[in-house]
Amino acid sequence: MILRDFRDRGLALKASKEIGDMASTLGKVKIMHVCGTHEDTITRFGIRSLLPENVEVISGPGCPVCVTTNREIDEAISLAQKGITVTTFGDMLRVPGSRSSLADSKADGNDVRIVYSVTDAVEIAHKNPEKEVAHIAIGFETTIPSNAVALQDAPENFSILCCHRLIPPAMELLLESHEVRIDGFIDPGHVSAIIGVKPYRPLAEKYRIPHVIVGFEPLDVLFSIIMLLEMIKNHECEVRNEYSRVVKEEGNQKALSIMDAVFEPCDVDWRGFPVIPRSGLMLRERFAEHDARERFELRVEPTEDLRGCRCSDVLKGLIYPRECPLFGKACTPKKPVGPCMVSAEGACSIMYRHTS
Amino acid sequence: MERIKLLHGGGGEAMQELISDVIKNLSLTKVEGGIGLDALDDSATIPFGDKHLVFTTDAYTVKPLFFHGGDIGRLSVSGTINDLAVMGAKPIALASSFVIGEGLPFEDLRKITKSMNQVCKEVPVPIITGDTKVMEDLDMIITTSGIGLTEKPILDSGMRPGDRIIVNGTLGDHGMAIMAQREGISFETELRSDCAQLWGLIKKILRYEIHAMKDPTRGGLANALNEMAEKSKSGVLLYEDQIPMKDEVLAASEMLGIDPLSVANEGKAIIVTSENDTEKILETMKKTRLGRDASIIGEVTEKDKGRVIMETRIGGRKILSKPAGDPVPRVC
Repeated sequence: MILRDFRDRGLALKASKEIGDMASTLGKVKIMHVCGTHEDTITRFGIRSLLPENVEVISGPGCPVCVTTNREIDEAISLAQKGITVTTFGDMLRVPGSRSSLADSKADGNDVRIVYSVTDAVEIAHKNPEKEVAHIAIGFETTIPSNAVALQDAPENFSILCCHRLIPPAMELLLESHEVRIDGFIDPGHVSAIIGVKPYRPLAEKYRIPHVIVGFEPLDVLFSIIMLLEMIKNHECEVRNEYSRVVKEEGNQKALSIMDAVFEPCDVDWRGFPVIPRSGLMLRERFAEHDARERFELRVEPTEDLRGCRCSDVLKGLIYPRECPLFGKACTPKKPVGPCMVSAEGACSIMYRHTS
Repeated sequence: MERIKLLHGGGGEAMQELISDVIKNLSLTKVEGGIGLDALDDSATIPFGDKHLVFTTDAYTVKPLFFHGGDIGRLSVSGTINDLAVMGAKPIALASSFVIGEGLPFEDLRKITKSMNQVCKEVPVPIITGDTKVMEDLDMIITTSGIGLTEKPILDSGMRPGDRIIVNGTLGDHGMAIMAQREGISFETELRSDCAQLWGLIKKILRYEIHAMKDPTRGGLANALNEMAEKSKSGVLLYEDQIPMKDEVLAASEMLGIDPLSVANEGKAIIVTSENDTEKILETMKKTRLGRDASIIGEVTEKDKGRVIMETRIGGRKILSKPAGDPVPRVC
């Protein structure tokens, strides 16, 4: 079975030794990934315990739940309070907005339902024509195409609260700000399956940083670190594709064209980041009736990030979760303060669960 | 106002918080010389001459009522028998109360009681008392209590450094089968719940030196081992590659993004034994139907007190912590 092949112990230990040997000739190396699933692989298999001290892998703004803002959570809660059936992925349920979470709203008796895909949400709308159903559409390029497909043929009582975001603009903002030193990027495999290799090239060239597009098995990650160290050593700044069994140079043209037919780029704020130009998506005019914000005239007051919570610095890779004063004290997976502690993909939750 | 959420029922830390809230208002929680509610073990005990009566109760809800590998009836009897069995107690008698949802077909009720009967006959153990109620807005809840007898109760807090940890078979089967069925995921080889009574297996190994036992139900292996390590004030070192797991469970867990070690098992026991008796127990278990995939999955350590450390399949190390609550699938 493929899952077991890409988890071969002998090869992993060999790769770990190779990384150790290569790193011994280098100074401190900081590698950033921007995908929750990569963080999951890294912690689930204890990959950091196989790396030498001077090679660090930090997580960037790659957890779609974590970069969702208080405003968006408040909007979702406000939909539920209006009596609308709100469908959401389970991870979003416990993320605190400015005052409460969707889980609180559900406990108060509002109709909030967990779904596993947008198809389930559309199905609920079909089965309950007398109800309004609004789906919280979150996620990066990976989940956008399926939402776009669903909208093309959605029933009249179905709408989305669009919280989609695009990855490359956030990477660029991080590099531009020079707040955190990054020596190499582990590019997200799922996102790249849609957008292809090209969008990373201008970033690699402009900021002189090597990129590797990486799959999600532990050996994928270990091999990609070898590829990055090699480029760092040789001062090369290319985009290499470790995940060529899935990611093609041009990406998935069909998915991209469906996305483009339904959505258009817009400026949007991310948790921890200012408004990033053209990093969000909104529904095109033709689909306006499925836009929950328009349809239900949502107006929520802007709010500040939670006091003391340093999720924003965690998302930028500026600090490790345990450097946040709330980590493990006021903020735990049971009683999360910030979103990075809620989502299974959040760096804080993962660190709390897997490390001492 | 702070309200109870579904999360509080999912095993893990939130559920412990709920349980402590319940217990703190109860001042009489054990009989003299017995193990009581405060021990939060699988069952309680009542000294009875030179023996111990073992007593337990559990309310069962499952959606769907009928699932691959079992139904709520089979579950409600097996679960209670297993809570007695992992205390080292022979089941003597059961009591079952039904809260039935209005509208349930009689045919379903009959199927459910027939499968309860089947498990009872295997042990054998009679259901000697019970109750029925009918209510609106629910499918069905069955509460089964059980009473057993043992010369020496086996606690979940008796691990000692140097002990070996054995499980009787593949992990994650029940939880992943239920979740996959709810989500409409099907494989060529269907995922099946492991729902079964364990007394038949456990009675064969009670003559060996067993220091601790527990059935990893809600919260899975991760929750059960953390509780055992905390209560025993010792550490646990697990070897991921020794943990038996079906390929289809692993595949479904990858698809749903759920850790199979955090989901319920309904026919598994964690058996902690002295090093000397490990091989004998393993050999005995492997000869039985429910123990043929038995494996030594780890050992008890002096260091890392109260923690479970896992050497991962690729040779890395990580902490296996308690799940926070009901597992929810990852987004992408």
